[in-house]
Amino acid sequence: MSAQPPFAERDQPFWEGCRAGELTVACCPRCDAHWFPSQDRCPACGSSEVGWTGVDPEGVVYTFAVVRGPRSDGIGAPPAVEYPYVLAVVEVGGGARIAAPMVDVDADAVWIGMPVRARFTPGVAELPVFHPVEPQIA
Amino acid sequence: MSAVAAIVGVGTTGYRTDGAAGPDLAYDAIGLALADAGLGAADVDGVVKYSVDSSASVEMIAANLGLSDLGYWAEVPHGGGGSCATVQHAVAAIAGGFADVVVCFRAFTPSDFGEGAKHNSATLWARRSGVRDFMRGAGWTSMFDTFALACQRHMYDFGTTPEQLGAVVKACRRHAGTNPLALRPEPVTVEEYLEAPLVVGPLREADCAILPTFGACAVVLTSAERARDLRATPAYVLAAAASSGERTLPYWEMHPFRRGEITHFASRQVATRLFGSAGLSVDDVDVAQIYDCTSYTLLAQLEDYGFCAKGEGGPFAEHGALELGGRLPVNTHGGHLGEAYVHGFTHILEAVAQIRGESVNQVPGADVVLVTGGAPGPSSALLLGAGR
Repeated sequence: MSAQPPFAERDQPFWEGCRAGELTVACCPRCDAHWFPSQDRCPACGSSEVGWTGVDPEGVVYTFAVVRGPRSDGIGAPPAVEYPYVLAVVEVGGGARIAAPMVDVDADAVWIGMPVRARFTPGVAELPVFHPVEPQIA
Repeated sequence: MSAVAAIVGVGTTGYRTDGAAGPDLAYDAIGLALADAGLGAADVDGVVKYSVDSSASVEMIAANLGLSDLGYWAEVPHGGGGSCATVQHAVAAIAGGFADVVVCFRAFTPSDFGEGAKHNSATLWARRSGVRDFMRGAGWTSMFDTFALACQRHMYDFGTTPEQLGAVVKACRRHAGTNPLALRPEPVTVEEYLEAPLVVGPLREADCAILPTFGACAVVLTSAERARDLRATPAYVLAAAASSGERTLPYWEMHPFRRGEITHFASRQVATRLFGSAGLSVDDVDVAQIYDCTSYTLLAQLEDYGFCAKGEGGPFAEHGALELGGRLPVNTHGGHLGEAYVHGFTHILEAVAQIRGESVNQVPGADVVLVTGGAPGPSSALLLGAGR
């Protein structure tokens, strides 16, 4: 029930990748910059020939926040996960960063630099969740 | 370089946690600011406002306050980042000869947030472009999440501690204690702070700006020459600066996605422009009103503005340095953590109060006061002075 169509036209390849179990990030064929989320032109060289490229579904936690309940600006309830959950910003291929909830790990056991891997729901155009590469002992 | 313009009137509706509509708040605050200046509607020929915004349009302000023949108007974007930029616009309008008396204001209600912020171009763009699909779908549903993510990385990179965030909260709450307008006037010790639960770790409720807040603030500016003839002590604008920052992202909340490190804000570039244009340095600042939508926002700006080295905001904030009598008294009204949250405009009013010698927590000899706007996206700041 997270992000559902209509997605921005530009981002369709990303969501198609999610459906197929592949992690993609925005990239520039001209200068090889990688970034996420997408924007209209390359943030490094300004090229309009931006595209998407598949990257290793493994990355490392760049930073994270442990969301324990509604925040007072009340923009919206999180989909698909219950409190508390770990909102992680994960650095993947080429230095691009993607945001996703962490699963299969206690909220207090996440650390910056932790190796994590994306997991998709086959056939569904949803953001992946990330789980630790090394199974965590409860 | 001598100041071109001065703040000659201030007004506030006071602050509540329920109630009034944005336009009414705006009319009231502007009326109070004009009365404070000893000026009337007929004197005003410029209006500057800023978004994210549910408050009155320039036309509504003119229609309901009886303003006519406005020679300058502007709407500054970026929410709290635009607070001091409204004054920058007023100074530019006065220096350019486009207007003689300019009103800047902010009316703030909770509908300014989230889906209610329908008139804000950045918010609209973020929704239409799909950026929010990547954030909301991940459970990133609050502005406080953005600051929690940045704060966590600051703790990792520099060893910043919860106790140091608590010292920021303690300072603001101590100052709020003597402010009759404050919505959180109860003092808090660092120990009490640490005992409270996390809301979005590493942040607690006390680390986050007071929401909901209903309230409005306004200031009136005119030329430095004319200011001398008015009733209030002028607060001269020694410098006004803004910057979009480096590696700007399409939407400010995306800050933790930024390529490269995320532990500084556009404030760092604002500071370079601000002190450079004034020919002043941080050593000249007697008291600072630093934007504090979270305690971390304030802590990181101590570094951005050069009060301490990169990574040393935490140690700087400890041991009462930010409190009255400390090395750098900040947010002497209580700030957004202790008084109320009106997107930085309360900080401008408190800076004027310090210059006038009328603060509820007056710092002796407050001749130069720093005011900063929101972060992490495009931001702005002021240096106000008792002398030109």
